[in-house]
This record gives sequence, structure tokens and C-alpha cells, in this order.
Amino acid sequence: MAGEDSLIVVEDLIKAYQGRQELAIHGISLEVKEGECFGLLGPNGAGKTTLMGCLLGLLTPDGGTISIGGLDPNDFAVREIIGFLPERPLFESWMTAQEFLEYHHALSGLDRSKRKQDVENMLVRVDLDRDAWQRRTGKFSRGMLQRLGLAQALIGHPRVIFLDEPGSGMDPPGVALLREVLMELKRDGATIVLNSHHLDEMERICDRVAFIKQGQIRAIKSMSEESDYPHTLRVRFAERNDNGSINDLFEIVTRDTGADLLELDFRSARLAVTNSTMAALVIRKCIEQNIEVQSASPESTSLEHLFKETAGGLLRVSNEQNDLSDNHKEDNQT
Amino acid sequence: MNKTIYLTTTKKIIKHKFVMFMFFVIGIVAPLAMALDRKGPAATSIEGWDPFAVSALFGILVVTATNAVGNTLALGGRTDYMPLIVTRPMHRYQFVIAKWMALATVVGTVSVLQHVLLWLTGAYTSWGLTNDMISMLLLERILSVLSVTAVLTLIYLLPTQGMILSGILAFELATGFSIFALNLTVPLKETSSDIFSLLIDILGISDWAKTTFLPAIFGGNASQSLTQYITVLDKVCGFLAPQFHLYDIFSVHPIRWAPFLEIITNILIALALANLIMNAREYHYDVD
Repeated sequence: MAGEDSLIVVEDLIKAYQGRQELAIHGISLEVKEGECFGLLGPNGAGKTTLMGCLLGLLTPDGGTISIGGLDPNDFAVREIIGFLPERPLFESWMTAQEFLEYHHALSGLDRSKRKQDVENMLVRVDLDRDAWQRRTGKFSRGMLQRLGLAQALIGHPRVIFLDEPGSGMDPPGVALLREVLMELKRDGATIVLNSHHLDEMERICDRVAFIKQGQIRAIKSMSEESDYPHTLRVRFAERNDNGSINDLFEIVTRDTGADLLELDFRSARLAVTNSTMAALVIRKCIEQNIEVQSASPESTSLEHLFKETAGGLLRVSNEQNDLSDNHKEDNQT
Repeated sequence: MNKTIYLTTTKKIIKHKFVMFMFFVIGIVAPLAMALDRKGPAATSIEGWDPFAVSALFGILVVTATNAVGNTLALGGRTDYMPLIVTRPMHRYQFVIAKWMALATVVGTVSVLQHVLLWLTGAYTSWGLTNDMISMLLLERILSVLSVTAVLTLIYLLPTQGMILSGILAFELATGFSIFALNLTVPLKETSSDIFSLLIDILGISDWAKTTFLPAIFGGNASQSLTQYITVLDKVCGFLAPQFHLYDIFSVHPIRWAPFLEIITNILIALALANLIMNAREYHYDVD
């Protein structure tokens, strides 16, 4: 039963492709709340893009239901409030960037009198060079197309935004800009469905992330709940002349905090901690022991950890199944 | 119809340099050349034209002119930007109708331009056509354009590239004398086709085809199979590019509405099928 505050509701979704034995989507159910940023994570071929296609009404599900605000994804009312950026944006190559956005502004049925201004605002917002505004999109680089695609997706201030690999092909300033735009959208209360391989990007923006593999959701994790997890803490410190004593100092730190020292050299140490509280304690103890800490950060993001955990779990299950299958074959042979 | 799609597509076709070159040749150069040459002895008959040459020329036009429209209709895999269009608040039928109307507008404009030039230069009068006939010819051209472009819109919505190519080839064969009076610029039937037929007879190709080649392909009952095949082809051609003569229809009493209704029905069938395909179509914007 869908929650009252759920905007996107998917129930038992099934999608098959002709010529493929396995289902592309195999009974996916999920809910996305209004104003939430929901991430789709999984290996290539997991079914993320197919799921996105079904949510957008581009693909027809073979089973199950999808509703956005209680309506079918193909309903006009839904299309009026959605924005979409595909993974590989390929646009009308003969149009200039400005013409392209004006075209989509018109297709969205927005106020014509505001078209020019809206388009200019959007081009400024995605920080596309003013020189490129009148350039044909066929001559754009991948990163520029991505920025233009983002501008296109944001036209009309959509309330629900579907972004498929929005940072793909973008340069570092572009990625930073994307993050800024997404944070702004979140602040404005927009609902975002994000498909990305950039785990750090997902972690910073998403409220929840669904791990998809072989057309099924293996886990849905809330980023706030999953922030405390065992990880490796890397502490960098100013080099000391008395190399012998640094070993002693870290011995004290590990003894007092319960952390395990994995590696130590002249300028850094790697410690295994069970959670963020222990990590904070380690840093405090280091300072107390007069170690000049320059930086301290986890080596992996929480999402990386969760991804490895989920993928590892899946891998183990898969191996076990293979073993069982092999045993079964051997039994049959004997 | 979606006005944005209509205007954008029209602009896109007009921006296509090769298409515009073809239109210039067919719409302006051809009728003017005809006007200059109409006093020649070979150009005395309106029926004297070579449909194969016309078909070839028209084919080039079809492929280039519809390129602009076809690109946005056909399945293009990773080059397909339809997902962005169909997620906008617009019915899919509006898209089909807009594309059809844009193509019809451009092709129709050239056809009408050619007609007007032929009329202004006195070419029609020299053939003995009356004003009524010329007016009916204009209406005939417009209806033909609507019909042919509707079929083209349907062809470009076919699900595979192979089917689209086959559709274009079939269409090219079926047309050639519907919209543009290109016969006015190519060698006339009396001079070209007769020589060609004569050559085939002299070389014995005709006999060889009838006695050896065709039976080998179609079996012992070759001529009967061939007739059936041609009948089917003729019916397909009739759908792709129906032939009708409005002046004949309206100059007899009682008026025979059947050919007129046929072309209207063809347009409706082509557009209905195009809409069906468009609505049933899925859009994969990337390989997962």
C-alpha cells in the first residue's frame, strides 16, 4: 500500500524485451516521496535505464503499475510537471543552443512572452558560454551537450526530474555546477530520480538509493540511516623528527579508542574504526597526543561501502547458487 | 496538430540545402525549361513521358526531402531524440499530423509553384488545356501531395530501417507522375521508350525473359504468376500514390465520387496507421 506522501509509486513492475530470455525488470516495487532525491544504483545492464524509461512512459511495462501523483506516467498532467535528461543527449544538430531551448519551451506549452528571458536564464544557470548560445548543437562537445540537456530538463521548473547520468562527460566545474543545481532543486522541493555511477555525487544528493541488479531491487538504503558504518580512517599529520615516538603515540591512540592500526608511515596512518563516533575519538586522541593532524577522512564513501556490501552479498549468493548447481550436476552424473 | 513541431520541421526542411536545390530544379527550372522548349515537335503530347526517368528523379527528391522529417520519425537508436519530444505535454498524434503537414506544406508549395509557372508561361494553354482543366489540375496536385506525404509519414514510422528502405523504394516505384510534371524535362516516351523496346526485341532479351528467365523464377506458369504479382503491385502502388483525374471526375454526370473518396480514404488510412505505430512504439534512449 502506497504511503500518503508518496509521489511516485511502482508496484510489481515487469518488463521484458523481445529476444532476451531474462526479464529486464523483474517485479520492482518502490515509492519515492515528494521532495525526495531517489538514486538508482547498479551495474551496467541492471535495468536502471529500463526502469527510468517505464517511469517516463517511454516503455510500456509488461506487468505491474506505475503512478506519478496518482496518475499514469503518460498523463498530460504528469508530463507538464516532469523534466528529463537522457544519458546521451543528442539533439536537433541544426539548431543553436538558444533555438533548442526555445523549441522545448514551446513544446512545454509555457508562456511565449517569457520564452526569451526564460531560455537566457536557463543558459546562464547551466553556465554555458555565451559564445555558444548561437552555435549549432551539432558542434557541441559532450560536456556542453550535457549542460544544454540539463537546461532543457529544467525548463518550466519541473516538480519531478529524471536524470540519467547527468554528470557524464562533464568537466570538474560542470560536475560542481550540477551538484549545485541539484542541491538547489532539492531546496526548492523538487522530486529527483537520479541514475548515476558517481557514488560521491549520489551520496551528497540522494536521500535514498535503490541497488538494482538483474532487474530486481536488492536493497533500498536511506543515506541518513546508513551514515555510521565500519570504515577505514586515513589520518594525515605533520612529519615528526622523532620517528620512534610516533609509533608509541599511535599505540596509545589505538589502545584508548579500540581502533585497529592498519598502516603507519612518516606522515599518515590508516585505522579501522567501527563507526563515526570512534573515528571522532581517534582524531581527538591524536590531538591530545600532540600529533599535528592535517586532515582526517574516511577512505571510502558510505555508498561505496553499501555498494560493496550489497554487491558482495549478491556475489556470494550467486557463487553459492553456482556451487549448488555444480553439486546438483555432479549428483546427476553419479 | 502541434504548431511548434510543424514550424520547426518546415524550417528544418527549408534549411536542408540539397532539398532546396532539388525543389529549385523541379519547381522553377523544370517548368521554365519546358516553357522554352514547348514548341519542339516532341513535346506536343502531355502523355509522352518516360515514367522510369521521372521515377528516378522523383526518388532522389523523395529521399532527400523526407530526410528532414524521417530522421525524427524513424528509429535511430542512440541518435534518436524522440524521448525528449514524447515526454513533453503533447499527444503523439499531434506530432504525426504536424510532421505530415510540414512535409505537405513544403512539397505542396513547390508543386503549386511549378503549376503556376507552367500556367504563366503558357505551357498549359499550348497543350489545349482549358481554365477549368488547369484549376482541377491544381486541386489534383494538392490532393496528391497530401496523399503522398501521408504515406511517406507512415513509411518513416515503420519499425526497422530495412522496412523503411523497402517502403521508400516501393513508394518511388509507385510514384513518379503524381505531384511533379517532371515528364516535361525528361526524354519523351515516343523517342526513348520505343527505342528501348526495340533494342530489347532486337537483342532477343524479351524472348529470353519470357521463355527462360521468368519460368525459372516463377515456375512453369510464369506469365500467370507474373500477372498476379503485377496486379498486387498495382494495388500497392494505388495505395502509395493513387492516380485520379479530378477534371474527368467532375465533368461527367452523375459525378463519380469513388476516385475522390479513394484518395481521402488513403490519406486517412495512412495517418491512422502512422498514429497506431507512433502510439505503440517504445523509445529506448539508451542500451541499459
